[in-house]
Amino acid sequence: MEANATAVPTTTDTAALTAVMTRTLPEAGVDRMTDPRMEETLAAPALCAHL
Amino acid sequence: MGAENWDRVTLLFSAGARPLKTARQLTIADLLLANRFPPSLFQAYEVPGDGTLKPIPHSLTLGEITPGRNVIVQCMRNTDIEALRPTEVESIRHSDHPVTAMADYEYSHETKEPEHRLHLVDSATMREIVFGKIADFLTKHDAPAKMVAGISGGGDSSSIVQGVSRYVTAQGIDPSGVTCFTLVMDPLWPESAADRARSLCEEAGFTHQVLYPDDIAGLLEMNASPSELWEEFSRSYGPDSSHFFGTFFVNLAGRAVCSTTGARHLLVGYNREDLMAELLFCLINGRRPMPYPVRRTGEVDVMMPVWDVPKHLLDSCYPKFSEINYSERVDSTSMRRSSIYYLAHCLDALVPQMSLSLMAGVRTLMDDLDGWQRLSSIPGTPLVHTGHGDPDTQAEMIGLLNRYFPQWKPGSDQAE
Repeated sequence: MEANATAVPTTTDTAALTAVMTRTLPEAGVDRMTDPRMEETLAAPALCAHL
Repeated sequence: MGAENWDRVTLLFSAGARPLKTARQLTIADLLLANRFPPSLFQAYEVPGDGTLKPIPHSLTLGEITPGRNVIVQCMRNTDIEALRPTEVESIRHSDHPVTAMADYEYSHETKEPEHRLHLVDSATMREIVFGKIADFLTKHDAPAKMVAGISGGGDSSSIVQGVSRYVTAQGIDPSGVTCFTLVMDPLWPESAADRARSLCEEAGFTHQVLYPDDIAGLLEMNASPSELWEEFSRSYGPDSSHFFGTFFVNLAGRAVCSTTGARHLLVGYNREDLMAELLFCLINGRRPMPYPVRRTGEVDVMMPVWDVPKHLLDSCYPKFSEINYSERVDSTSMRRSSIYYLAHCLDALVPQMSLSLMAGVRTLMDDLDGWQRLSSIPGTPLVHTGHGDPDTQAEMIGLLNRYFPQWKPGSDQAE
């Protein structure tokens, strides 16, 4: 696993870190499966489009 | 860390040290997990070299692979690896003395350029984050001037006191309306922490009550010391009942302090995995979830201002306290409780946002469906229940408690 430590200014943005701590998956983009038009019509019987 | 330091890492539990696997014992599944891949997404094959593939379980260690053969670990779904790239993690150092790492991973980046980060943060920054979150929570939930909090004097208590202090200062509220209480009763609650709790409250201007066994007995109108009750209770239900008895007792005392001070809000330090363990238990058993982050319990609203803060980040606010806390912790775990906590922590092992996302989704769903589990009062007592219990065993326990709480009138319509 790459883990290159990057130095950043010491003035830490606590608000940004608070947001990181409490960000949910849907808030980070996992709020839909595909194009909403397909999701709502074509994929409605099987949201994950599993064959 | 170099491989030469492998033996220098000790895994420590309250029951003592346990060994980590050696490098030779690592399996193909372990390698996948180390690379943030779930083993169930893969099938392993040995390559004999004759054009065929020989399926092998990914539980094989590297030492068990047939000598000289290569191994293919095939992903079994059309996973878009370019969009995930879970091994590419950048560490962002926010301090010269970080004590913890906060994961910031992306799983659904529009342009398939996920930026996975680990924020290396020191304890001062974590305290800023947690204090601010507590104050924001109280603001969001319109917490009144009168509140009660049970504090032990440890790290979580310090965070609660500091967060509430920040809230009352910002709102211009008289801090003496906040009452903190600390129970002292060996062996469950040693006196050593009470002094620390007292000075924390003095600093914040809060009212502080240290409740010794006689005070607790008076507050709860008991006819004997709570120590005697605990002795009988642990004889009947086993010493591993201490966590449940302790939580029950703090809740009972907290609600009684609310009653004597005219408060209707009780603050507790339940963290993310506390709530997730409970939610997981409810869901896998087909039960309605218990409400969070505010739970009506009798006449009191129990507020959980750190409900979404992961335990390891809460602990990292005061790393020294945690170190002492766990080294002194009694080795009494309650086997099933211990397992459900393990399972709850497992949820975030590969995807650190998993538990909070589930909790947020379930919360929205239960609000929409009015599906939360309501706690109903057991008539004639201050106890509440879900209704899942067996009436006979419940009556037996109420009978035991009633001998120490003679004011209770179980079965009567009048709740105490």
